[in-house]
Amino acid sequence: MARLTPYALLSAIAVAFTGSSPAWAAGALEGAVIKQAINLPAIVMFIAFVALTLYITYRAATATRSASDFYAAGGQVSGLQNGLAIAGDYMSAASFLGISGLVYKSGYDGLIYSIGFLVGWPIVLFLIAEPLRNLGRFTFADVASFRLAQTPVRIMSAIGTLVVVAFYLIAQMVGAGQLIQLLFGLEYLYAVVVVGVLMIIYVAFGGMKATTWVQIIKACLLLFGASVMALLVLIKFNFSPNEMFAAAVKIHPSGDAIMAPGGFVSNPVSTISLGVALIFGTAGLPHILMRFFTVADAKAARKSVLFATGFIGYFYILTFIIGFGAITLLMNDPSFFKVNAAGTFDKLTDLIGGPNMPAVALSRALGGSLFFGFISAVAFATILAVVAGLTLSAASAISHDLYASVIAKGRTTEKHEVNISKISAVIIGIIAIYLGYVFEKQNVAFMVGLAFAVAASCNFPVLLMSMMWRGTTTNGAVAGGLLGLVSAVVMVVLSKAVWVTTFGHKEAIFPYDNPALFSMLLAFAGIYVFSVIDRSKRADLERAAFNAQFVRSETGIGASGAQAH
Amino acid sequence: MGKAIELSVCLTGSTAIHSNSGDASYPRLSRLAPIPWYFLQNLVSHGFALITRSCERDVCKHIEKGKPAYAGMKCAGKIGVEEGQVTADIENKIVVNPKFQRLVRTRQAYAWSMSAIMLIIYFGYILVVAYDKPLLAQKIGGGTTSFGILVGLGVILSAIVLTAIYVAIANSKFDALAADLKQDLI
Repeated sequence: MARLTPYALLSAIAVAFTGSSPAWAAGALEGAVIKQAINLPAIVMFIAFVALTLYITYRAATATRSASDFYAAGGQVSGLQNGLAIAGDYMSAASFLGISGLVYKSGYDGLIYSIGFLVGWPIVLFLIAEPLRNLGRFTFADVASFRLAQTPVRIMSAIGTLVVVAFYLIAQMVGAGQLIQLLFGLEYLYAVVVVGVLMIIYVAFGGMKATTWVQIIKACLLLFGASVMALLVLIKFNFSPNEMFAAAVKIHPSGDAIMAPGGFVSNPVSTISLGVALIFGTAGLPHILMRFFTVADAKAARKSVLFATGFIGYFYILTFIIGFGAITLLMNDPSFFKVNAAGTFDKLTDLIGGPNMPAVALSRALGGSLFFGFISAVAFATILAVVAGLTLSAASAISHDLYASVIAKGRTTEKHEVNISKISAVIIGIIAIYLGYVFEKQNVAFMVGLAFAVAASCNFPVLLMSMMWRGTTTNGAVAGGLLGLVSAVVMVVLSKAVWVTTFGHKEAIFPYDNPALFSMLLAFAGIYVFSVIDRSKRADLERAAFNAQFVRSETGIGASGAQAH
Repeated sequence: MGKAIELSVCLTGSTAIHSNSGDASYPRLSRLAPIPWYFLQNLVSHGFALITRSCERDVCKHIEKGKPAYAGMKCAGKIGVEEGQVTADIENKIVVNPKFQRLVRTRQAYAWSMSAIMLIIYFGYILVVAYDKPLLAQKIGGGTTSFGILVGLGVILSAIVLTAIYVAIANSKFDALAADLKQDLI
């Protein structure tokens, strides 16, 4: 498998050289020759990244002996490393390319959007991180089911995890296929297969150790690449943001409007609902939550959030500068655009490669072919690392929550459980490739929003209430969690993105773009009501067991280190 | 201390049953590794019976269903199964310990109020964006840079600063309170 990938990619070089994809077909023969020189560094650097990560996977595989190694990297990840890994999970290609693309298109609105992604992190720290580390071992279901009935709560948490991962993964796979098609000239299906196969290898062989290190390397590469880009942009303007903004306003078709809020917040309820999804969804994303089990204790957990918040905040500032840099350096250069017969082009819509490409195109404008290759390779690496993290969290939910606790009722061995996890990773990878293929031509933009909405409406309320409120019972957690999950999905189906865009109906039944404000409140209300009316003996025992959970959650007394032995 | 006090201690994770080691399916008393040795010694020397939390919960379920406890569950007899009541004395004692209460009150006060500050900053910002766009469009210092850029950067910095403040307080104050509490328990 390890050797297959470079071969697949090398064969892609030929495709790219012949200039068969639209991105490379822009120029005449001379243009194609230039493209050849441009594309090679990307492929060489990407192969170097793959080779390095496969070596790390090999090392990780030999060092992975226990379930704790596989699920939680033996609990030996440091606060800084985990902070980088969390930031890596969060800084997906969607945020790097998507947000810089949004800044390029509408300026200030891109900043508003990125801020929503950041402010969830302090909330994660204040409310979730430490109790989560103190109570759990491998999955957030460990925590939610700590004093509640294992079977129903774990089934519900696993469903929440799988739904979130499914939507997130489809969005990433489709994005990956399209991006790689564009950057490397690799055919869509091959691109999706390469991503799927590599993520299976990382997860199935290397477990959390490999997944974490892939994430750390990618985070460093991405932060380095974005920093260099922002620096090169600022150098052009003598480090004066004001000069950069002035130049951008002159060039951008919207003029001075890009310096102020535009159409992004047209409906305050929609925007607040999106904010709720982004903030509380962050605190409910399974592939993020599982990272807190890879550190030794609550102190390291909080340290990792501090690092992660710092890196992510810094990164969003960089994407803002990159977006403005792209406005100033690309918009007056026809070589970056699809120029029509009349010799004109639309600065906003005709960028070669589409609306997500400003950051990548800017790298070529700033640093030539070598830097363009580097940024392309980093974008590919970013997707790989994120899908690997998603796959691992889904595989853990299947093996640790569904298989070990629900099906085998604890009567299984650690080794067997880990094997189930590895098999799950392979199956999830294959399903992801298939879904990526099926959804190629579909509009998947709403899926990341839906993933955040489900995480905010199902995982987060169940987790928070089971940790913080004595009264929470199994009935409450399961009923409330399902209520949040189902209502979030139904409201998205009835909203404009699906009801109108996909199904072709005239008017959306649910008027807002994101359901989280309503579905999350429904979930909390459901947990509260169904817990209060639960008069069973089990419920009494569960409430009585709160003290024990609370002591451990607040002090860590009795917390099992994730360390092996 | 005349009579041995029965109490249960949460020693291992809630999922320890199937994933702690090897092929054993049920908790055993030998699996006490995660707990600090001095704590363990102290408890044993006082004649306390140690029961794992995971054990205890399974016992709860079996009481509920009216089934006998697992044969392999060595600890089952120690926690007053006959009375149908589960004791969690050590936690119940910690919960009423003033030092624990002080720790929880302090930490949760910071956690909830800092969460509220973050949410107010963010949603306040969104409401200004929604209802007063001209305010954010104002130019500062006669240049092109708008007031909105400063506010946006301010929100980003506030998230980082709040996080840093919490971590600083936690490292000094909360950890000290927790250490003080743990001293009490030894």
